[in-house]
Amino acid sequence: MGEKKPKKRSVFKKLKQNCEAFTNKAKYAVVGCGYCVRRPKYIALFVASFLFFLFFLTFFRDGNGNWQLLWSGLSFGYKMKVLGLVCLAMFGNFASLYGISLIFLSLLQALAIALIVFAWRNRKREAALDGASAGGFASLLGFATLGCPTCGISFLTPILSALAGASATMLAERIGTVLSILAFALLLYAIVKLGYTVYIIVGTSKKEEK
Amino acid sequence: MKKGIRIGLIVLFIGFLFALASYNSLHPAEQGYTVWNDAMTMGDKETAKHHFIMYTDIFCPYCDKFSDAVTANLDDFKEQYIDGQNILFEIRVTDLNYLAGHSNNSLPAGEGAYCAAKQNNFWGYYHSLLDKLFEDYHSKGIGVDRNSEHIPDLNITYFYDAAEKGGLNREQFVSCMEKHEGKSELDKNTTRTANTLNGGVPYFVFDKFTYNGFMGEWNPTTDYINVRILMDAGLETGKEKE
Repeated sequence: MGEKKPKKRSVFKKLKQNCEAFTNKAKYAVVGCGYCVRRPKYIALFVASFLFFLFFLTFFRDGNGNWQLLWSGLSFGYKMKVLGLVCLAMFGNFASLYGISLIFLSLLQALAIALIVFAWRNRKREAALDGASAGGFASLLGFATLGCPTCGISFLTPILSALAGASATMLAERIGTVLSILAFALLLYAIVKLGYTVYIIVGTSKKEEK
Repeated sequence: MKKGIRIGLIVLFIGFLFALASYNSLHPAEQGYTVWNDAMTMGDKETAKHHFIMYTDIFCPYCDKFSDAVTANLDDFKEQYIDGQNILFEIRVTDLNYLAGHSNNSLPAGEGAYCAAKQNNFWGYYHSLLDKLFEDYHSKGIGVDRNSEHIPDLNITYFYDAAEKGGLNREQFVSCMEKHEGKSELDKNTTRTANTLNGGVPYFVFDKFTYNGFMGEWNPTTDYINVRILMDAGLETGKEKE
């Protein structure tokens, strides 16, 4: 019994140390993100990625109806009109909490993409791949939770209804919330890791210049 | 090697999600239509060339968004589609949200729909209840999507008032609700719907075209554009397959 106490203490100590290290890393990551996004090439990439992700998330925001319209018998021009309406709906996202969460998710995705490309171009390919894995997985989680689980229109519902039958919509709502939080957490983790890598890259190149 | 495995896993995961999501959309449309409840239809059943079904739950926000847009433009909807294209529009009311534990209001609202159908005034009740819900909740941002505040459990008189406002006989409606005369039909249709859809509502079947969900901003004028696109997609897909 007497041996367990120090063990517990050391676990908490380690956890505290890890948290402090992560917080420090996050501070440097913010500076790294600043370096990256200040460069015109990466601003363009950030904006383009943001618009792409926001369009994609808005397209599937209310179920997969838009996808079904694209495969319907509508003419090509009419299908373009559908895509145009999705573009307009992107601005409608500012009006609801759900929409704002999609905007925030798109911003994080875009930042992660800009950082991944920066790290890749500066030969930190392992870090870029790690970031891409975490970011990619977060995107999939974010995508899986889209729709309206309350009505059963969520990409999770068909998956869960195979396992849970009628209670799938309730499960989809609960799991969807957990997955959304997980997606945001994963993205933030990837951004901190990548931002820190960018900070190191920029710091090293500045030293070399001196 | 590790990278290859990672990429492979990601591709597999995407494929898995797409296959499952598209399974729902590629589910074959119902063949040999039979109307579930004559009072819940709009259009001429005998001469209709097209059959447009909406599976709904009155307490499903996306379903209400569609219905609000149609109601606000009912004359145009009837002229352009119901009469103009000879369509039979049928609403199949369920209480899927009650069954899934999302909303206790779904049950009385659904029972009310079948009680209203017994008085042959389903549309009066449906439009009146949706108007009331929009005025009291949806227009205030309550019960509009997954992140919004939920509509509280409503007193049963809320539905009686809506029925009366919709032109129904209040005493008959109250008696029907108290005796749960609409429940068996509601239960039967909810079970049939749950077995058919493998997903959620709103689910639209327009001849051979199926559509899940509904995009809109709770603005009946702009949302009606999406209603028209949905109707046109159904008509055009029907033509393509003929």
